[in-house]
Amino acid sequence: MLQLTGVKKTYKAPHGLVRALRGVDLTVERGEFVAIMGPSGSGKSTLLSMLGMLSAPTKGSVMINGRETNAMNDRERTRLRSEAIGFVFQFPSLVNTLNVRENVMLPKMLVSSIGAADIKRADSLLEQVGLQGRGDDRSFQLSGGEQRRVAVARALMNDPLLVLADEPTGALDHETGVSIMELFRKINEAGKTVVMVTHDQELSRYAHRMILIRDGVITE
Amino acid sequence: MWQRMRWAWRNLWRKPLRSSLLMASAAITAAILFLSYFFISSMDRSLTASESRFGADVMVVPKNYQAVASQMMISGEVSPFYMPASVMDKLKQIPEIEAMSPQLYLETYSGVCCQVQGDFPVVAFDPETDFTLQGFMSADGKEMGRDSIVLGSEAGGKNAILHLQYKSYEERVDLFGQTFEVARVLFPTGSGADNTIFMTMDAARDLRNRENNELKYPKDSISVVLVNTKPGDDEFVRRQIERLVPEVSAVTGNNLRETINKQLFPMRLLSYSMIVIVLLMATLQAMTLFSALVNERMREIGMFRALGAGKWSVYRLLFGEAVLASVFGAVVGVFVVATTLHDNQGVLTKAFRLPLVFPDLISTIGLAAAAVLLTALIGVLAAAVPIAGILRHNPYDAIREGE
Repeated sequence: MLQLTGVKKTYKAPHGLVRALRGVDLTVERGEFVAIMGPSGSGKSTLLSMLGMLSAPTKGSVMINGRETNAMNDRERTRLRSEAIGFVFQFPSLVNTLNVRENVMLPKMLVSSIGAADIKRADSLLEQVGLQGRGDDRSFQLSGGEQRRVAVARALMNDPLLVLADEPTGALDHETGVSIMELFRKINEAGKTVVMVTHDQELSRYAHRMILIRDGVITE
Repeated sequence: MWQRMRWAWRNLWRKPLRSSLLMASAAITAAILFLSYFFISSMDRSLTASESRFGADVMVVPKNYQAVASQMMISGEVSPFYMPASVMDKLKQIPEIEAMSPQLYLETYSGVCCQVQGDFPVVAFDPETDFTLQGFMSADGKEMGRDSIVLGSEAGGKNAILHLQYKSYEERVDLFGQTFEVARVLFPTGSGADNTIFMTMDAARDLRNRENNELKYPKDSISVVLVNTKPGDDEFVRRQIERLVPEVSAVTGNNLRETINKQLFPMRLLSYSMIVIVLLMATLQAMTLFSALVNERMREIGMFRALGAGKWSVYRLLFGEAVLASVFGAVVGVFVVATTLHDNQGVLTKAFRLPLVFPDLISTIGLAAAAVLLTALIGVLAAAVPIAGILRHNPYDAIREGE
C-alpha cells in the first residue's frame, strides 16, 4: 500500500537547514493499523505529510498503491489524495461557517456539487461515529470530542483506502481519546489502512505495529 | 452551486468589518466608474445631438467668433455677437450654397414660461428659410406669426406639448414688454436649443424698432447664418465665404466638431485619468484587504488541499467570495449614484453648464452592468494574487505556516 525508500526531507529555517527526515525506509501493507511514535520534533508529522503527499521529499521515493508520487504532477497527486486518502488533523479543523453535515461532506463539496446520495452518506457516517441527528448543528456547538468524531467521519466521506491521522486524540481527555481510538479500530476492521501519529504510548496499543522515530530516523 | 455561494457568503461574514470595508471599496469604485462613463456618454450624446441640430454644413459667424460659436454649442448659452444682415446678400453669390438661414441671438429672459421658472436664451430665426429647427418642431400647434414663439422642450415645451393639439389652447409669455403666443414646441434635441425660446426675425425687428425697446442689438444685424451646400462642397464653400466676405468666419461641421473636441479634451482626459486612477487604487486596496483575509485562512486552505481540493477548487471558492463582495458593493454604489443622478438631472446640467443628454434607461442599465462587471473583475484579480501566493506553498507548509 505504502512504500517509502530513502526518504529525506530538509527545510530551510531562520536558524539554518533542518533535516526533518534523514533517510526513512518504511512499508505499510493494506489493512494495517500503524502507529508512528516519537518525541516532539522527531519528524513524525513530516513523515505523515510524505505519506499523504502533502509535501514532497527532498530525496527518496514515496509509492502509494504501486505508483511513484514524485513522478506525478499536482493534479494527479490531488486526485489520488481525494480518492484514496482521508486525513484527520491535529488541530480543530471543522469549518465554522458550515454545519456538521456540510463539514462531513467537505471533501465532496470542494470538488463537485452535492447530491442526495452524498447527504445520505454523510448522515450514515455521522451515525457510525455516534452523532446521528446532529447533522444540522453548527460545528462550534459540538464538544472537542464530538468535533474530532466529525473530523473522522469527514476523513471517510470519499471512502478512502488509507486514513492518516495526526495526533487525533490531542487535547482530548483520556476517556474521549479512548472512544476516538475505538473508532479508528472499527475503521481499520472495516478494511481501511490506518496510519496514526501519536505520542501517547497507551493509545498506540490499538495499532498492529508501532514505529518509533527519533531525529528523523526510524529506530524500531 | 447555490450551496457553494451560500458558503462563500457565510465565509465573508466571518470578518464583518473587513468584508464591509471590501464592499464599501467596491461600492465607491463602481460608483466612480459609473459616474465617469455616464458623464462622458452624456457629453458625447449631447455633442451628437448638437451636431444634428446644427444640421448645416457651414456656420457663418462674425470674424474671429469661431471659438465663441463652438462654446455656444457646448454650453448652450447664447452669446451676443453680431454682423450686418447684408452678409446674406453676399453669400447668395456663391452658387454652391443650396440653402441658408439666419439666426439672431437676442438676450436671456429670466422668468416663468409654461410653469417653468428659469433663464431662457431668446433667439430669432427665419421660419421661411429655416432648415435646422423644423425637424424637431411639433406637428400640432399654430402658424408662426410676428407675435408667436417656439419653445424648447426644457423652456416649458414639455408642459405645453400635450395641450397644443387643442385649438382652444392658448399660452402667452411676456418677452421684452410684448406678449407672445406659444405656437409650437421643439422635441428634445439634447442641445442648447432645449432651453431656448425662438421668435421670428420679424418679431425681433419689431421689438428693436419700438420706442423704449429693451433690446440693444445693432439695427439690421444677424448673429449667424446656417448654410447648406451641395454634397461634398462644404470645405470649398467655407473657403469661398471667407474669400468673398472678409468680415466673417466660416466653420464647417467637421471644424466645429474638432474645435469642440479640443475644448472638451481636458475634461475627457480628467475623466479617463480618474477612471485609471480609481481602477489602480481599487485593485491595490482590494488586494491588501484580500491578502489579509486569505493569509488568515492559510491553514484552512492547506487543509482543503489535504482533503482533495485542487488549486482551481480553492480559486473557485475564494473567487466566489471576491465576486460576491464586489458585486454586492458595486450594485449598491451604482444604484445610489444612478438614483441621485436621475433625481438631479436639472441641477447637474446647470452646475456643469453643459447640455448633457443623459443616457436612456437601457443604456443606463448597460453602463451600470459594465461598472459592476468591471468592479467584480477587479475583485477577482485582486484576490488572485494572494491566493496564488498561498497555493505556491505545498499543503503541509500552508498548514504549518497558518498555525
